[in-house]
Amino acid sequence: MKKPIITFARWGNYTIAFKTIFEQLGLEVIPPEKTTSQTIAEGAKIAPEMYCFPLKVTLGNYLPALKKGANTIFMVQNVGGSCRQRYYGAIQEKVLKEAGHDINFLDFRATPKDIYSMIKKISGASLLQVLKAGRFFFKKLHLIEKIEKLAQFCRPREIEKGITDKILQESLLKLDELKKEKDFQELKKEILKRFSGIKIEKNKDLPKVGLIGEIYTVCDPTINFEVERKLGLEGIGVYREMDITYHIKKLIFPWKDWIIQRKINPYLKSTVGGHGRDAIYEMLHYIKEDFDGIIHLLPFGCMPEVTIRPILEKIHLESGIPFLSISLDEQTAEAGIDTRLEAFTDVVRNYHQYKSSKL
Amino acid sequence: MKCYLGIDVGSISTKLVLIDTNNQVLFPLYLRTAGNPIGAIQGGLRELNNKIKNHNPDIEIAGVGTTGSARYLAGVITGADLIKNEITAHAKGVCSFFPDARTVIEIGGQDSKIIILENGVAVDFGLNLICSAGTGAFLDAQAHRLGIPVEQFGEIALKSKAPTTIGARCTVFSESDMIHKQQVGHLTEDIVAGLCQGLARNYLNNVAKGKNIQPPIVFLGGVSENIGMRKAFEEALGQRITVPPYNTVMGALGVALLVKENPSPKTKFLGFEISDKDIRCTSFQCQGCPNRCEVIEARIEGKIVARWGDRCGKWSNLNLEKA
Amino acid sequence: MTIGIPRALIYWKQPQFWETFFENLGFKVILSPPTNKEIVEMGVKVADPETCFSNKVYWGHLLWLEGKVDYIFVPRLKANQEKLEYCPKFFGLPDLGKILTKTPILTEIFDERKEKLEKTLKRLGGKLNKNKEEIKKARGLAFLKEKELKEKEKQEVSLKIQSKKQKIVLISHPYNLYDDYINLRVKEKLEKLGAEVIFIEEIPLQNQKSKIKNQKLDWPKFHWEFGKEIKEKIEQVLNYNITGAIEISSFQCGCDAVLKEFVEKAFKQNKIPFLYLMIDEQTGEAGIQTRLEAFMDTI
Repeated sequence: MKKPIITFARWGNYTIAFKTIFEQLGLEVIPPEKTTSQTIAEGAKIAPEMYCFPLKVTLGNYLPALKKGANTIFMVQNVGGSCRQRYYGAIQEKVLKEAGHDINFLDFRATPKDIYSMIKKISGASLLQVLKAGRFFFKKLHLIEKIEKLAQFCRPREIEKGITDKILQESLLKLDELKKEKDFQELKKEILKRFSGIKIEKNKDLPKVGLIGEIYTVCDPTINFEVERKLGLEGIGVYREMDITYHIKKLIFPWKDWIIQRKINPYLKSTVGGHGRDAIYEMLHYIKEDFDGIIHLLPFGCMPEVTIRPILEKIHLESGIPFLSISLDEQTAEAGIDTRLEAFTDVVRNYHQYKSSKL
Repeated sequence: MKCYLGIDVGSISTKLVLIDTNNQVLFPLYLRTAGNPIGAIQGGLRELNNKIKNHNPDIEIAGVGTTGSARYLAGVITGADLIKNEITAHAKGVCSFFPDARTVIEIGGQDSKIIILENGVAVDFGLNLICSAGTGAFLDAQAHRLGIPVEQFGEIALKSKAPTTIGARCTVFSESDMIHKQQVGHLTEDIVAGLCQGLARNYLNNVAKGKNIQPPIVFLGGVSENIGMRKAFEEALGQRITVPPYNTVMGALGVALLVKENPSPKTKFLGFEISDKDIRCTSFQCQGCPNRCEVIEARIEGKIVARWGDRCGKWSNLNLEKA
Repeated sequence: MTIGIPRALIYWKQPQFWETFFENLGFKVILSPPTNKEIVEMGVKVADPETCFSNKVYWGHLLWLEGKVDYIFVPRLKANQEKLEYCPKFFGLPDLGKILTKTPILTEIFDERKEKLEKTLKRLGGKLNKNKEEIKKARGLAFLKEKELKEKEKQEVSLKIQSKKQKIVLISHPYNLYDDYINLRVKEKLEKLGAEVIFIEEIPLQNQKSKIKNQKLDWPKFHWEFGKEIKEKIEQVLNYNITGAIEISSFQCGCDAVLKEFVEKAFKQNKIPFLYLMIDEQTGEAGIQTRLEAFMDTI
C-alpha cells in the first residue's frame, strides 16, 4: 500500500482542529483547499446535479489537495440522521473514481468506535496516542468555538472598526500553526487576552438576530458569505447555538433531544432528519429571549430544512418576528445575499425600534 | 432652492428623481442601463443638468442617495451621501404616497420583490432567486419571440377570452412550451394573456411565498406598466391593485426622500461635472489569500476614488488620495 | 363519519389498503380524484418552492379534500417491516398538513422498529372508537385486499416478462409510476411506440430458494426502504433480458439524487440503454414525447 497522504472534508474554522488529529498521529496531511467560488465550481462540475450543496462544496475542496498529492480522504457519515448526508461518502467516492482519481476513500460513521478503528487502521497508533490526539482536537475545537462567540459579541460593539476580525483571523492562523499540545495553554491565554483587549462600547442597545438552520451552512463562514460578520459590522448582535459542541452534547445527553421535542410539540411531532427540529426549537427560544430577527440558512433543497420551513414561516407570521430564509447553492451570488442582508438589517432595526417604543 | 437627488441603477434601467424640500417630484428620469451603468448615470446627470438650467437654474443639490443593484458604484462615482438597498428605498417611496399600503409588488427588469409594510415600515420582504423567469426580462424575451412590441403586450393580453396555460418557471422551458402552443394553433392574445398569468403565478408561488399579502396592494416597476399583468395579479389575488404615480421610479424617489430626512451638513455630491469626466471601473483578482476576491477599482480622470469587493478590507480601507 | 384520503404520495405505498380498512370499520371513505391540473396548481401554490414535486402534488390532494370530509387521513410513515426508513419528508406530513387545512387530520405513527403494524392499526381504530373485534376484522380484510392486488400484479408481470416485444423497465417511486397525470402517461406513450412496459414496483421479489442467480450490485447499504427494494428488484430485473431502462424522478427529490447514481451505473454496466426523466408541474408533454421517441430509436 502506498503511504497514506490524507485530506478530509473541509468545514469552516473547524478544519484547523480536524487537521490536528492527523498531524498528532504522525500522518502526512494536506488540508482541503479553502472554499472559494472556484473550488465550488470545480466541485459542482463533477457532483450529481441534484445533490445537496455541501457535497459539492467538500468535493471541490478535495480536488486541489488531491492535485498536491493527497491520496486518502476522510469523510464522516451520518452526522444528521435520516438525510442524504449519510451517502456523501459513497457518492463522493464514486464520482472521484469516475473522474480518474486513484484514492482510498474512508467513509466512517460518527461513533467513537468507528472513528477509533478507522484511525487505528490507517495510522497504526496506539489507543493512548489516539486519545491524546483526540484531547488536543477537543481543546482546539473549544477554543475555536469560544473565539467565534467572542467575535460575535465584539464585532457590533467594537470602537475601532474591523479590529475584531483582524484578531479573529490572526488567532485562527496561530491556532492552525500550533503543533505541540504543551504550548496550547499559553496560546489560549494570549488569544483570550487579545480579545478582552478589544475596546467596545458597553451597554450598547443592539438589535439581536438568531442564526438557525443546517449545521454545516450556519457554521462555515465561507459558505454563508460571512453572514455573522456582515451583520455584526452593521451593528447587529448575532447569536448562534448550532455548532459541533451542541451536536455532540445531543449525542451524549439524549434527554436534550427529548426536551427539544417537548418544546416543539405544538408544531412538529417527529424527527424529520438532520437538525430540522432544532431549528424550530431555536426559533421559539430566540423569540422568548426577545430577539429582533431570525435568519435561517440551508443548502438549497436540504430535505430536513425544507420540510420544516413552512413551520418556521408559520411561527414568523404568528409572532411577527422578522424572518429571512436563505438557500445556498453554487448559483448563489454574493450581491444578491448582500441586498437581502442589508434590507433585513433595516427590517430588524424597525422591529427593534417598534418594540422599544411600545415599552 | 434645496433639492435632493435619488439615483436607482438596476441592471436594465437607471432612474433619477429630483425632489424639493416639500417632497414634490421635480424631474423623474428613466433611462436604459444597457450594460453600461456608468454611462447611464452620466447620461442621466447630463440630462438632469440641462433641465435644471432651462427650468429652475436656482436649484442646489443638497444631498444624493443611490440604490439598486449598482448602488455602490453609483454612490462612489457621484459622491452619494447615502447608499441604500432597494427594498428599503421602495418601502420609503411607497409610504410617502400611500401611508396605508400593506403590500408592494415590484417587478423590474431582472429582479422582482415583495415588501410587506406595517405602519409605514417594511416588516418582511422577499426577492426572486437567481432566475429571471419572474421578471420583466422574461416578458421582453417572450414578446420578442412572438414578434410584438412589449409596450403592446398588456393591451393584447386584455383581448384574450381563454388564456392558454403556459409554464413560466424558466425562460427556456416556457419558450419550448410556447412554441408548442403556437404550433397547435392557440391565438396570440391567449398566449400573451397566458404568459401574464404564468408570470403572476410564478411570482406568487416563489417570490411571495409565505408572505402575508394584505390590501391595499401597490404594484411597481417596469412591468407594472403592463395592464395585462395588473389584471393577472388582480385575478390571482382577488384584490384591487393600485399602480401609483412614479411607479417606475419609486426606488429613486424613496432614496431621495431618505437623504432628505437624514441630511448631512454638507453634501458629498461631486457635481454635475462628473457627467463629462472620464470614469472607468476595472477589476482585478487579489492574490493575497485563497479567497481570490474580485476587487473593483473606480477611477475618475485616472485617479482611484474607491475600491471595493474585498472581504478582508485590505483594498477598500486603503487610504485613497481624494480625487 | 367520512374519512378523506389524498390519492398521492404515501397512498401509493399501499393502494386500496386504507380505504378497505376504514370502510370495513364502517366509515365512508372519500378518495381525492386522480391527479389533475387543478390539484397540481393548488399544491404548487401552497408548498415550499424547494420541496419535491411529489410533496407539492400531495398538498393539492389534501386541499381538494378540505371541507368535504370529517377527517383527512395522513399517516406518519417512519419505518417499514424490515425496519428501514421511509423518505424523511414523510415524517412531517401530518404537521405540515395541519398548517394547510382546517379539516382535522387523522394520524398515527407507523414505525415498525418500535411497534408491529397490527398494534398500530389497533390504536388507530381505537381512536375512532372501534372495538378490538371490529378492528381485527377490518384489518384482515385490508390485508387480504392487498394480497389480492399483489397476486394479480404477479400474474400480469410474468406474462410481460415472457413478451416478445422490447421490454422497457420503468424505475421510480410508486407515486410516480401509478399516477398517469404526473408521469405524463409515459406507459401509454411507450406502448404506442411498441414497447412492453414493466414497472419496477411490479417485480416480485424471489424467495431465497430460487435457482436463478441474481447479479449482486455493489450499492451502499440503504437505510431507506425504497433504496433496498429498488436495488433488489433491479438485481432481479437484470435477468429478464430487458432492452432499456427509464428512471423517472420528481423535481427536487432528495432521495433520487442518491439513487440515480447507482441505478444508472447498474444498467450502464450491463450495457442496457438508460434514460433519465425529471418531472414537475412545468414538464411539457411534447418534450417527453420527443425524448421517448429518441430513446426507442437508439435501442
